[in-house]
Amino acid sequence: MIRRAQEGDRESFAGLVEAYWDRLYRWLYHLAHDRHAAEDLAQEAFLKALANLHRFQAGTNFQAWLFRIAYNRFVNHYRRSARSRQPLPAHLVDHEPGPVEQAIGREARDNIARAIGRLPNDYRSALLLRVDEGMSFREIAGVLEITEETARWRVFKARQKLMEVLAPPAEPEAK
Amino acid sequence: MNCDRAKTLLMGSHDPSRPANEVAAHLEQCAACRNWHEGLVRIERRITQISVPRSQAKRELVRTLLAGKGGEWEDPSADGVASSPTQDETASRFPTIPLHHALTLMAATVLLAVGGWLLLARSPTPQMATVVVRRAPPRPDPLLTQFSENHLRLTQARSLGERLEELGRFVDHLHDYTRDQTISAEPATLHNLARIYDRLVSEGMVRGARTLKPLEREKVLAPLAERLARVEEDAERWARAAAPNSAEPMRQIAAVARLGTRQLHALIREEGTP
Repeated sequence: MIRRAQEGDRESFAGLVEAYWDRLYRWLYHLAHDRHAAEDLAQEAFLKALANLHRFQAGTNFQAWLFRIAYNRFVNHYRRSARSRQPLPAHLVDHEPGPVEQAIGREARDNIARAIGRLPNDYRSALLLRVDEGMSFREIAGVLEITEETARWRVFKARQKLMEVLAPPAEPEAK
Repeated sequence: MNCDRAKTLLMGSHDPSRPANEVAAHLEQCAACRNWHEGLVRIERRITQISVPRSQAKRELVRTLLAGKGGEWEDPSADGVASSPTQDETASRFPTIPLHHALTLMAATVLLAVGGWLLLARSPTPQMATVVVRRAPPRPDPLLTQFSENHLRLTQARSLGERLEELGRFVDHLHDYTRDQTISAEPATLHNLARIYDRLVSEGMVRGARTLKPLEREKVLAPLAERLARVEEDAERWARAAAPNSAEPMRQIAAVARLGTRQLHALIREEGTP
């Protein structure tokens, strides 16, 4: 599909949008905490990918390449809006909770979402690529343009911070 | 293995739900760590279950793509403004960036920023701004548009400190633009960008900073030095990820930023020298 898109086939590129939009939008939403910003960033990323598709090497990781484009745009957006840690929206609106969400409860979900929202951008972006997207540390490094070691470290710090906030206090070690 | 070590390995692992053998052995023996581990796995599982607001934008984009009747893909600029249409199929699809125009504008800007306060005190002549406007290309380019706005603010600045701060904003815009180019630009474009950085920093910022009153230096120059430090860090990172031809201009940008940072810090330190 990528090769056909590289040859100018719009339907094939539309297929790539169908395949990757939800995941990219989800990640950008967690980074930007704003639906409209996430939509704009996702759209810009796809258009930029489209304009530069001839530079993409078929056979390499398209998702990582696309996410990297999106991350660069997010960084520019973030700097321009001069926001640091952003407050989460009061409600996670415009969605219907599915059976899984209903099972775990709104409060637990919101607590986790809130804690993730309070992570520094660097940690949050890396953690979500690892957990939500299932990327390896090497792929995360490619997206965020960091070393693999730094990617591992950022995921480590994100987990550490989440556990500090969300996990129950440790009990004495059992013998 | 102790508890801290087990937790460190779990938090740094690819998948905490599948601990390595030595960690699993510790978890079997330690109830506290087992509880902790279950909490970590549960949190990560729930992350994937967090919902986000629905978006209609995908459908709109797909509809737009499918409705397109040929023509070139347009490369959105850093500011979300569609850039110039690309040339023919065989040429690079990357839009023509008139960086020679940017260099002309930058040269005039630097002359204004530096020469303005060396020769013309605080009142740059309107003629200079007019000349620069006439040289701007007819088709709006996002970088030039931004530089033109910065240039206008520069002409309106009331003090050397304000002008230096405006140059700092130039650097920010240039840096955002460069970040966008790292994925797709030709090496020649990146070399042009490196030259613009060099002019901005060494001929504009540092030269102007030398004439700043000592008492003002810390306040004005410290934020500028911080900006340049970020530029250096990013440029080094881009150089590591870039192809060899593109890495060289990135390293030049990093070198310019590094030297600029050192020079600004040296000027700040001079302030305290009796």
